Parts: sequence; C-alpha cells; structure tokens
Amino acid sequence: MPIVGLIMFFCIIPALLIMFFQMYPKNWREKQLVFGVKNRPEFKEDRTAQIVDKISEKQRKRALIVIIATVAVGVLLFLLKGVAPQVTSWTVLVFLSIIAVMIPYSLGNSEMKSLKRSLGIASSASVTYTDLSNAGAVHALSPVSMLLPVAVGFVAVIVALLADLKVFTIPSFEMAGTFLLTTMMAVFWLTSVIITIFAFVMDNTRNEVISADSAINANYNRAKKKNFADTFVLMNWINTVYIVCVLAVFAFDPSDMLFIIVLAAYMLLLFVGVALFVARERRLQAAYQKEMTLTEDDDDYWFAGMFYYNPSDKRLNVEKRAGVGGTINMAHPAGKVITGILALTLIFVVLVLVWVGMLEVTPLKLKYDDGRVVCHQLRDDYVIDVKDIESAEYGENLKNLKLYRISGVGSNTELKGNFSVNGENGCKVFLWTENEAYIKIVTKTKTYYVNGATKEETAAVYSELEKALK
Amino acid sequence: MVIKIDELSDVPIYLQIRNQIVMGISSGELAAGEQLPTVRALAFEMGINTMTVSKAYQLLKTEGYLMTDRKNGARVRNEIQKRGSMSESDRNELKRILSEARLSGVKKEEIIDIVEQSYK
Repeated sequence: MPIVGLIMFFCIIPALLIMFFQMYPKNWREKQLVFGVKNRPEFKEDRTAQIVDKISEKQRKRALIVIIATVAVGVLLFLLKGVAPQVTSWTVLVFLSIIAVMIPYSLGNSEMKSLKRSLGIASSASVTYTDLSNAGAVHALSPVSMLLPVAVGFVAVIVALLADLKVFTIPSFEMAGTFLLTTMMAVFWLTSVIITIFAFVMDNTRNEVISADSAINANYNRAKKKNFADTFVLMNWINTVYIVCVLAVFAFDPSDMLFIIVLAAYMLLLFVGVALFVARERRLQAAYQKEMTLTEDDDDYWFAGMFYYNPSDKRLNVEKRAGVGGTINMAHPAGKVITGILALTLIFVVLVLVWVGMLEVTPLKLKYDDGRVVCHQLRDDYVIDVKDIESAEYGENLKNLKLYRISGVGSNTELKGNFSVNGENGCKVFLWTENEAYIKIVTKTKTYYVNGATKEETAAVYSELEKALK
Repeated sequence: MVIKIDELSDVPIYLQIRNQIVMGISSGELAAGEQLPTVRALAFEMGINTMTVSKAYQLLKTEGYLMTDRKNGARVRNEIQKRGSMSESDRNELKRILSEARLSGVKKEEIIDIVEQSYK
C-alpha cells in the first residue's frame, strides 16, 4: 500500500473529524456560538429552537457528506501509481476537503444571521465590554516551560550540524556532509519557534467578558489561556521528541520503515494533543455556560462566521470562532498584508501543483545540440557547453549510485536538482530512474549526472559528446 | 469592574471611560488606592487607541480621582477632594434630566428611588 497515501489519509480524516465535531456540535443549545453567531436565549425559545434545530441538522448532514466523500475519494487515490501524482492529488484533496467542510458552516452562519434579523434582534456590534480588573493581568503561559523544549531541540539540531560538518563521526550516518538531516531537523525546530511565538500571542489575547463579576471573568479567561498554554507546551515537546528521534534513527538505524513509524507516531501524538485541547475546551464552555450573562454582539464583523473584519478594532489577533486557536483582524493594516501574503501563498501552491503535475506526465529529454548538452523537461533545466567539459563517462548501473536529494525533485520516476552523489555534494542531477544508463559529466565548476527517457537516447548523446570531446 | 463602551454613542469614548470609572469609584466597585490597568493594557483590551485611554486617565487625574506615578501607574486616590457642592454645569444637566423625566411621565417617587439606590 502506498506510504504517501496512508500518511495523508491518516492526517486528513482525523483533522476533518475534529473540524466536524468542533464546528457542527449536535447540542447547539449548550454552545456559546451557533455557526459563528452568538447563542442567545431567544434562539432557545420553542418555535425558534425548532428552526435552529433544522438549520443545525441540515448543515451537519452536508458536512458529514463532505467527509464521507473525502474518504471515498481518498480510497480511490490509493489506486494511483507514482509518488508525485499521489502527492499532487492528495494535496488537492486536502485543500478541497478543508474548504468544502467549511461551506455548510458559512451557509449556517448566513441562515442564523437571517434568523436573528427576522426575530427583530437589532445589532449592537458597537458595544464592547472590558473588565478593568483583568485588563492585561490574566496569563497562564510559563515562558520557561515553553522555551525548554525549544532549547532541547536546538541542541539536537546543533549535534546534527556538527555531525554534518564531520566534527565527530557516527558510524552508520552515511549522509554526513549532505546537510540533509540538519536541514530537516532545523525545519521542525523552526516549527517549534513558530508554535512558541503563537503561544505567546494567544496568551496575550484580549480577555473575554462573560459576566459582571470580575472574579468569574478572570477564572474563565485564565482557564482558557491555560488550555492553550498546556497544548502549546505539549506540541513543543512532541516536536522536540520527534527531532531527537529523527536524529537517533538517522544516526543508528537509518531504515525507511523506522523513519515512517517515528513520523506516524509524531502525527498521531499531534492529533491526540489537539483532541485533548478540544475536549478541555468543551468542558470549560459547559462549566461556564450558566455564568455567561454578558455577551458582546460582534456577529456582523465575522464574515461567514470565520473571517474577522472590524475596522474600529485596533487589535490584530483575535480568538477564532470556528476551529482552534487565533485568527487575524483583516481590517488591521498588518492583517491586510498577512491576508495578501496568504492569498499569494495559496495561488503559488496551486501553480506549483499544476507544474509538478505537468512534470510528472512529461518525460526527460536529453539531446546534443550545436556543441551543447541540453537537459530538457518543459524547459531547459541544464545546458552544458562542450567547451566547459573536462571529462564524460558513460555508466549503465544507475542503481549503484548513492543519491541523496538536497533540493529539487525526487519521485519514483525522476530525480532532478541538487544531489549528493557517492559522497560528492553539490552535483546536478537529471535522471529518469526507469533508465539504468547515465552520463557523468565533469565540468570546471560542477559534476552532472544526466540521462534521457531511454537507454538508446542516452547512448546516442554520449556518442556525439565523445566525438566532440576528441 | 466592567466598563461598557458604545462606539456609536454621542459621548466620546474617553468620556465614557471617565464617566464609568467615576461611577465605579462612587459605588465602591473601585476601592481607594486600587491599581488601574496601564494605558497600553486597557487600550489593547478595548481595541482602541492608547491616546484615548491616556486622555481619560489624564482627565481623571486633573479632576482629582486618580493619582499617577511612573512606578505604580494609575491608582484611585485615597482621599478624593470633597467640594460639598455641585458645579453649575452638573446642576443644569441634572435639571435637564429631571425635566425630560417629568415630561415623559416618570413619577417623582421613582426618581427618588433611583437617587436613593445610586447615592448610598
């Protein structure tokens, strides 16, 4: 069974289920929000409650259909062959399913706002409450407990860096010098840094006012912030343990299976962490339900119940209405910039997916053209001038090369980009893996390993190159 | 103590803050010597400009309700100066409110009840 599919399947389905239970609760009467609209006593009156029941059931069913459809499409994707088509298709499915599961929520939000208007509830979005006794005084995050796992992770990254720099040697660490392990660990360590920044941001979010009693407000906000703080500390420790485990796996037993087991355990623990957060948040909301006597009506500032746009609010970060964590005020100048960057990132990801898809269906082409060796796939990847070539060597055992990707493409069918080959770093690779023949070209500045889609194509180019070099 | 701010009100936000802090001191919700949040913290909580909060604090300090110093920030004054009389403008404001209440049919006893509840 394809590993990529399995990993993606066990990532997206629990994530969608968490979203489903968080956004579409069955017992809406006990919740603070109904599809992003503040729950109020008027909604719980007999006839109105029946209407809300209908809205809730209808959108719940739609969201469930989206999840079932995602499972069905996901199962079908297991039939796809090749890593790149799987990654591309799964990434598209992940994006689409997350967007699709949010659509019933936004429809529910629109229906709830209409219901509110039909009940004659005038918007009081201009009214805000602030608890003078708690302003800036309620925190739950301990900087030491947050920064300790980051420091441990940093030490692990430094160990990997020293091993890559060959300051000391680890017997089974064959990739030493490629900086692949250091890069991978540094990426996960940077994730810890981002989690830490996010934790401090959440700990400094505005305190919610739910009651005229300052003690209740303080306890409620402290409990909420503690839940966030505990979750972020847990996430950081999971990340750090993963970094250390990856180091251990690569150093002592660099097998793919062990690496996949560690990765699967890492993702499972992250989901457990999020699930614990959601469960604690539910208990907290249920415990304070009766104390909630003051409610700010800022529903009109929440588009589709998910996107906050309030020009008169000077804050950048606010707590999310749908899902877990925080979101930004899109009306804030920095919020506009962040929204723009996110939109551009999304467009970029879509373009990359299209590009990767096109690469997958386009075979590599190697040709000798007017004193130059041209490696072409959708564009000229490498053009090597014969004048720069010092030597060229023909090989027929591609599998004997020890190739480690540093950057570029590394699918089942093709290898392209910067690679470490047989311990030599910085080699340029342009190889179709189904073809065992290849040409090693050494120039004044770089070493290239190239081939075409077939052995014949590769041999023909080598023959011409040999003549030119004589 | 909870402060309610209405952005659409005719009363400027700094005056809304000022008025509610005065009411809080008068009702005892804010005790003598009680520490108030910093200008920055309160502005962040309210989602308003720090200048607005600063203006309210400055006004309260000028009027003798708050004392501020660099070390402790803003605190409610231990001893608030008792003038023993209402200012002319406050007297006129009270007259206006009573006139409007009478014209809308509010009974004198009801107004006395409100006064007794608020003036303890």
